[in-house]
Amino acid sequence: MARRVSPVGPERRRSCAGQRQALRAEGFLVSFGLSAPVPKRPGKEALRGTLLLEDGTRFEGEGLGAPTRHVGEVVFTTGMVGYPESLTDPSFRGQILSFTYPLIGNYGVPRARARDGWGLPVLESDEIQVRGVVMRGTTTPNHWSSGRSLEEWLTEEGVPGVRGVDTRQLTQHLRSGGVLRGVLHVGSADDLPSEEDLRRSIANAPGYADENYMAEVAPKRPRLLGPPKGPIVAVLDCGVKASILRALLDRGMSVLRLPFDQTVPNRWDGRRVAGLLVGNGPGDPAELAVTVEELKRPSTRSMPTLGICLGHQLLALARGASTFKLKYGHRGQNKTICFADGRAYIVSENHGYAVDPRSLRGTGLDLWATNPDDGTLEGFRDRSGRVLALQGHPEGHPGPQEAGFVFDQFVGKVKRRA
Amino acid sequence: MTPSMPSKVVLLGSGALKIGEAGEFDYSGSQCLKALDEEGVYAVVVNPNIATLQTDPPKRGRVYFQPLTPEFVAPILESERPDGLMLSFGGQTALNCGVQLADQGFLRRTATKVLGTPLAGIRATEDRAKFVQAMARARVPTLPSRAVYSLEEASAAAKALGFPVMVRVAFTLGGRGGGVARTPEELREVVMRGIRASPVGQVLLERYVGEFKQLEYEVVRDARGNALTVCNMENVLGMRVHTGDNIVIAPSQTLTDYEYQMLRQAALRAAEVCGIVGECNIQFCLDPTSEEYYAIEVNARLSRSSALASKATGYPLAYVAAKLALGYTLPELKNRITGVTTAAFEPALDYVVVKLPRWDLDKFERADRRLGPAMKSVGEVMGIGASFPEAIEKAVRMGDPRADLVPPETLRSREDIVAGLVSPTPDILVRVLEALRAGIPAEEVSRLAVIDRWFVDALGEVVVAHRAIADAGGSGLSPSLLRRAKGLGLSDRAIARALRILVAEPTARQDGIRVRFELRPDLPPVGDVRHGPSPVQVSLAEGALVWPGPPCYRLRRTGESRKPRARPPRRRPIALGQRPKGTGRGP
Repeated sequence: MARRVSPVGPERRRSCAGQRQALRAEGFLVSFGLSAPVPKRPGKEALRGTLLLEDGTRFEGEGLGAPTRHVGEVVFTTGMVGYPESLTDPSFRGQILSFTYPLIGNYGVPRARARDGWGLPVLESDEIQVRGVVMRGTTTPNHWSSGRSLEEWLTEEGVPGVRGVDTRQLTQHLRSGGVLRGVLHVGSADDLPSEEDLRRSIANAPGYADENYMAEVAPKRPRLLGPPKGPIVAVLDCGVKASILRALLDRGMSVLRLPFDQTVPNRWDGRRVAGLLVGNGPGDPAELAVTVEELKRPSTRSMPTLGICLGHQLLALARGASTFKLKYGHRGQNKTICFADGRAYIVSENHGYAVDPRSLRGTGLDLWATNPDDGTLEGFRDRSGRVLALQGHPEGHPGPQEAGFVFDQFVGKVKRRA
Repeated sequence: MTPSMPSKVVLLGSGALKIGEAGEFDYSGSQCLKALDEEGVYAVVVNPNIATLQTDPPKRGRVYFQPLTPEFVAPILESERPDGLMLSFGGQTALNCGVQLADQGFLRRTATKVLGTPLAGIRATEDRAKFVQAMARARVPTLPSRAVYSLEEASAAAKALGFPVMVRVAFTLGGRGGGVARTPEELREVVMRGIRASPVGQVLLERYVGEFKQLEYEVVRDARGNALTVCNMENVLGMRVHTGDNIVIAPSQTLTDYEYQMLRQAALRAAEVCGIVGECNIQFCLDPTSEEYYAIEVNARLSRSSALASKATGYPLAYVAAKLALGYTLPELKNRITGVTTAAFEPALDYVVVKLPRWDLDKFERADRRLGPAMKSVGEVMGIGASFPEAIEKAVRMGDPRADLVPPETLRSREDIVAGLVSPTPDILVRVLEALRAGIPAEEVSRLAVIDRWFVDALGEVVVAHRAIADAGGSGLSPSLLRRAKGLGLSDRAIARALRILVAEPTARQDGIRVRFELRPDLPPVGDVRHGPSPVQVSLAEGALVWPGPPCYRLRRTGESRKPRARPPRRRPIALGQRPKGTGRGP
């Protein structure tokens, strides 16, 4: 029986299987002229991880985290640091995340339920958001801020992971063919799932754009954070990262976190709501009709508004522009955006959809920033000066923060109105 | 094309090679000349070094084989009347020469324009007092320190700071003349040596932070203020050892996103305050137990670290720096490696790079073999891998083809091993592995050698794999163990040694292993005569790059990948390099 001992791709596996079987039977043992027993397979506790893409491409490695099976859209990120932030970013809901950087887990993970001074999680949300993690390698962590290892964290949160995967090949595959759905199965090495079984799991799961993520990532009721006085910024929360809220709070704003489908009030607790932020979140923006409708409402339209990531797309839709799905998305911490005045910034990004720059015509929105590498839209402004929107993440976490001036501009507008 | 493109530029080289240089200025000057040539700029090179590409007869330009001192450079500038002067491509030698010409009022008198980082910025990075002020403006903390000109002042300052103190010397190359003083006697020795070595008779006493992490960022910035960090690097031996003598890994391995971005933003602010146009290198120290950090220094020029950053990422630093000095902005430049992205882009790596220095101290009698704040190495090699052990294994073998990371077993006593950890010499890596082999716990090795536990643990894995192979013996060596060993970068020869297979001819031994273990099905074919599997054509940074680019380097890669080796499309010549620079041999 030619059980595979190491991660090898399907084509190579087929070509080698026979050879290996022969080897196992006599090959390398005979060549030593010894009669030692065939090396034992890893014990029962050893886990195997299998990633099967919907096109049939299969990757295998050592399993870690929770022994379970999840289906999701397989995407890759190129960031070299910040895996705890990435894994807790609600925008990754519904996705299986592969890291192109080969060493993950170097500095461990903060202890569970660690909070900042505002009562927000120190990471981007309270839990791991991805459905599964694909890695080239993991390391033994060492850092003063670490409370546990990545492996322990994945196990505690019930998330499957696989290491030992040729993530460069996976990346190249996704980059040439576009993102694909896939299934990540982690289980006993003695009980590998059949390809048919895995394919069935993919077929039975809903498509990426068909799932309702808001029930999982959006808050259920409004909540006010920050100082008892001063301007309030409402945040239509479709799964906003904690760092976006922190960026506002650190600039002296109070933050009113609203569920994604709520009406933005003009006053709250007797205080004026002077600005609106629409942040990041998972899914296809075109599916969030409720939020788009709210953004069209005259009283909402009259507020100084900042859109980030999904918020950027929703604001564009509310003004009549259109969005489309990118071939493999922009996920990393080294994305260049060029503003209309010739200045270039490096920003962190995590998006699979983008606004069609041609659709801005006639919407009253002006192109503000573009990606010089593929010409996609990276930001727009409203001619009235009230609306700013950026596709990238000016708050960083993970990633650079030099586009943080966007928050300063927005907060300036809010203060003038308050 | 910018409106003010100069038509003639004088480029100052770095002069003859010295200990403490590795030929990095050959690289930076040549790249600069290439950039100038592309723009049709007439280049006048001043460099007495005959063994560098830059002093080859130029297509468009002229070479002066003259010393890089104001007396010789001034007349050249007077007769050539260039539109600009480039100071940042010839190391400290060129920078010092330029600063002296400016101090003498010569540059102002002749209206010679310095291209790239302006003189005020260069001064802010070279003069400690100005540096501290500039960093304060950039809200970047610097170590508490005092600039002194005499032993008396030094004694008083040391008393105020408390021993041990670090002594640094202004305007010198590779930290020459500097050192740690733990006692008043040592202080006298180091301060006197430093004052003599400094061209301005100044030394700087600062708080000693030998146990801190040492990190570097390579910043590129244009005249419009667009800036980015091409690469960051972590020094495995921490602050104790000069970066030129350090084992350096790119990118950093032990920093969280918070720390990485904190230092990155500080680097960008520092570059802005210094008015960098082109490239600079910024060094930080970071407390391994908190977020406390300090800027150590800014080098407003191409350096050895830039050469490493450039090769490690595929970002043509010196070339881009030259174009920026000519007036281009980052978004206007195309990245020549990928051909698709602009130069306003930060490389994301899907591999790690380890630089290992080469010292050649054995060629000198009575040389002090201890490593410290003064650079002693003469060259270096770079290893690329998917893990720290793999990359360092390759670097070790490239530095010395007879060596392997895991040294042969020695009968050295525990005391001897510990002493080797406490006071690092060029053998530090060997000592660490010996210590791990001798069963000294990783925690203790980390504490004694002042190496972050993460690196020690990673090296520990190699020792464990090595032992597992030895224990398994030829009959018990499973494909999974072999695969693990190859993933950790162990060469076929190292595996053979662990198995105690002694075959005189490496080729035969290689074949022996291959036949015996049938590496063929699971691993790339073993093609290289000496050190492991055959090269695979990969383009640097390409895996992590979202936009595909053409392959640029041929990298050797060991172990795990299941992609069959790429076949070159046709027969092509191979140029054999010559390994790192050594004493007794020019570049």
